Amino acid sequence: MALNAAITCEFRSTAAANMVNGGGFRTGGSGTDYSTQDAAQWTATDLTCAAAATNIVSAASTFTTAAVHNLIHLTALTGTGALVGWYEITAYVDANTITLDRTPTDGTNAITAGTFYIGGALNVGGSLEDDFFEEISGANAADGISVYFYNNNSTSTVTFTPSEAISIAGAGGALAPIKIIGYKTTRGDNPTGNSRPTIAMGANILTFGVGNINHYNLIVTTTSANGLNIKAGGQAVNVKAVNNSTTANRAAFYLGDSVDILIYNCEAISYRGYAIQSYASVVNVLYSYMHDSNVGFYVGSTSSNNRLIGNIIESNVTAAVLFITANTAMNMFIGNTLYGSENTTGIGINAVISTDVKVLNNIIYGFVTGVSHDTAGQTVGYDDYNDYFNNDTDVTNWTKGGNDQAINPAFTSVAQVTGTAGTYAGSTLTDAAANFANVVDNQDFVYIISGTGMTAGQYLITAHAATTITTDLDAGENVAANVVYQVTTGRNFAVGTNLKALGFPGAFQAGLSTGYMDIGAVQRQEPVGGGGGQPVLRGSIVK
Amino acid sequence: MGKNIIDGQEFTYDDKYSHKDFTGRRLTDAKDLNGITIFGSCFSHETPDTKVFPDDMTGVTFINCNLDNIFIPIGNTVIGGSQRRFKVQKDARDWEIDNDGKPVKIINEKQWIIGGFSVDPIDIPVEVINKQVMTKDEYDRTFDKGIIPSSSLFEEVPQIINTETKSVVLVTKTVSLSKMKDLKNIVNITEDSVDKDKLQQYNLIKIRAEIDYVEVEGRAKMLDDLNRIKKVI
Repeated sequence: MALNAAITCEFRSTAAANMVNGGGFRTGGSGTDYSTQDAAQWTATDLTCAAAATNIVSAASTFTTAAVHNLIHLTALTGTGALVGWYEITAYVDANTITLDRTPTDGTNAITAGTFYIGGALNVGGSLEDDFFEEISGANAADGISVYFYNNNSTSTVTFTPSEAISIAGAGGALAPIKIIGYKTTRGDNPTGNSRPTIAMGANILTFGVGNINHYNLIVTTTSANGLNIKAGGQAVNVKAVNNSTTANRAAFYLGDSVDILIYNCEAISYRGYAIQSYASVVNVLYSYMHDSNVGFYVGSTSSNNRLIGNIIESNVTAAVLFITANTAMNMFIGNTLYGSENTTGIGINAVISTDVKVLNNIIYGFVTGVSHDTAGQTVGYDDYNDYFNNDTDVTNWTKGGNDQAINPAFTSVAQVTGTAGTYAGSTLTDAAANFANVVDNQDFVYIISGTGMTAGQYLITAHAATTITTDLDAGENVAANVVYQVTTGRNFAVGTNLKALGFPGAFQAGLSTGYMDIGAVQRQEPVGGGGGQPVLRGSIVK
Repeated sequence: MGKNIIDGQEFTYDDKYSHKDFTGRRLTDAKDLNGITIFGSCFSHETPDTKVFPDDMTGVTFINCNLDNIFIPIGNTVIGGSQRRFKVQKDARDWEIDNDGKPVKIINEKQWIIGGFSVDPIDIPVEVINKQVMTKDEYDRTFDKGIIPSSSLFEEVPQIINTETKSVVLVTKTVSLSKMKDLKNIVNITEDSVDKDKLQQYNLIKIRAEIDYVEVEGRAKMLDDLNRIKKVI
């Protein structure tokens, strides 16, 4: 036997700390779900179990049938080879005896004493987090278990701070993945923004298993090299990952050495590194937001198919997209908005080594170079129906398509504050010549480019006044009044009417017709334009 | 005020500072910390002994907080959580350090072991690993011609105290069997499986050779054997 696939677990910040509780219940089980309360329903220290038996006995307890299908956490067991961990109660025997899904003994020796907890939600701490996730993803558990993180904060996010790295070797099933899900009020309510729970890892890595783990509705912060690590068959939906390490080249999302990964409706930021770092074989990044990093989307694999559709990749230092190695697989960019800055920063798509890149229906705006390929005269790339605007150089070693545009997309609200004479002290940048009135705290970032005593890079703005902004991390100290910086504000990339009816695909071949011609990732829907480009693009082009 | 229980002991905690993410931030100007209990917050910094709290902070009890690299003034209490001193090393990974600042244990050890990477501090290179295996010009000249420029190598040099023979790791373009045979005539050399999959993406292999080292100004300097290897490659 093993933990049932329908087991659903619960993390609550108000539950008894240090992972002591049972924390789970089989959905549809015959008992009562005690996993969403703070305290265990039953706990005692007199647990005994005969060798190889699945029945456990507690003379001090009065069990009822309501205990059935709850998880029980066995700790502090006395008995050679006794196996602490989480078990499912599969049957009620009598007021002092219940049956577990498997024996907690080594098959030879009895348990003469032990502590147990039935019910009660889980709460991090006690260096048992990794053990728990190993348990629900390992040999003792069926595929498909769900783990919920509850945000009980009525006004903001609640932070869970695990006491250790979570890097489990287990996996979910290909058709029954393990689900890690955040929720606000009721399970399935799909909270957004700061209504999602936060998992703050510090330097610890967060890798929920080696594959088939799905992540929903979470905020993850970390400084570890590999950030939130999504493995084969895994997906992240409505997940915000932030790596605010000051060490270069770290990732918010790390898609490593795996296949078939989906990143959908996610947000990624890595202050000195890569918002998303891809080494995986087949990666789909859809309708996500990569920003204020050194690189938005980084490809390090020689043979990965990366499909980026409908994303906004903006205000990154070096490049929106960077291929660092020769990639002979096809990489598709459709309907994305790639934005550098008003005063041009970095490269839109930079294929530094021979790479197969297709670029269709994107806005490429505000870069030193829009698209750059390393190989002069290459013909492997394909480009059409893109709008190149406000780039110092639109393309290098890259052939534009016949239907490309050079029209101001007239973003609804995107602006920039720049300065060259700032001072910096106590995490606050001051520039008497600046106007930071339109800065939004805890949303906008300042890119500190240079300055005596300063550490260049991206910093989150946590507070502002007319001529000052305060950063989350300390950037140094400057009294020379030579801090060079820039801040993107507004960040509303919905396009104006200029791009109306200019997008792909226009008229299909063979007499098929379409009105879906608006360009860009963020469509402005106009009657003449056609009323929606992305669905048609998805259905007709990317299969 | 929130309430929780650890080991049967109930405690109350401050809502403003509990269950919050303060990673990398400083609270040195906070005036309302003294005497409170902070539960389940992350204050982790990347620089050892960072002062994020006021020097005169007293009476604060931290329960299950991540206080890695955080200096806690005398007069405060830490229960549970994490309070490691770590620092990024020249292998670009975070390592717990001892009082002398020497790396002793890698952070996220389990993950690195699962990935097949060394977790022995002796394998930390003296020089920062050069991830740019070759320059673009070198690449243009050589990639399709099967020529391997010596500068395409980078070496992971083990820390060394005195002159001795150490195992050195070289990363290079895939070496033919005949060249591998030539190499083995020079030194004891084997292919290293660590990072193998990742290196294959770059058409690289990692080989480990027994090389004589000598310490020069605190850094490991390789003797002639390595140059002979490079010539063969």
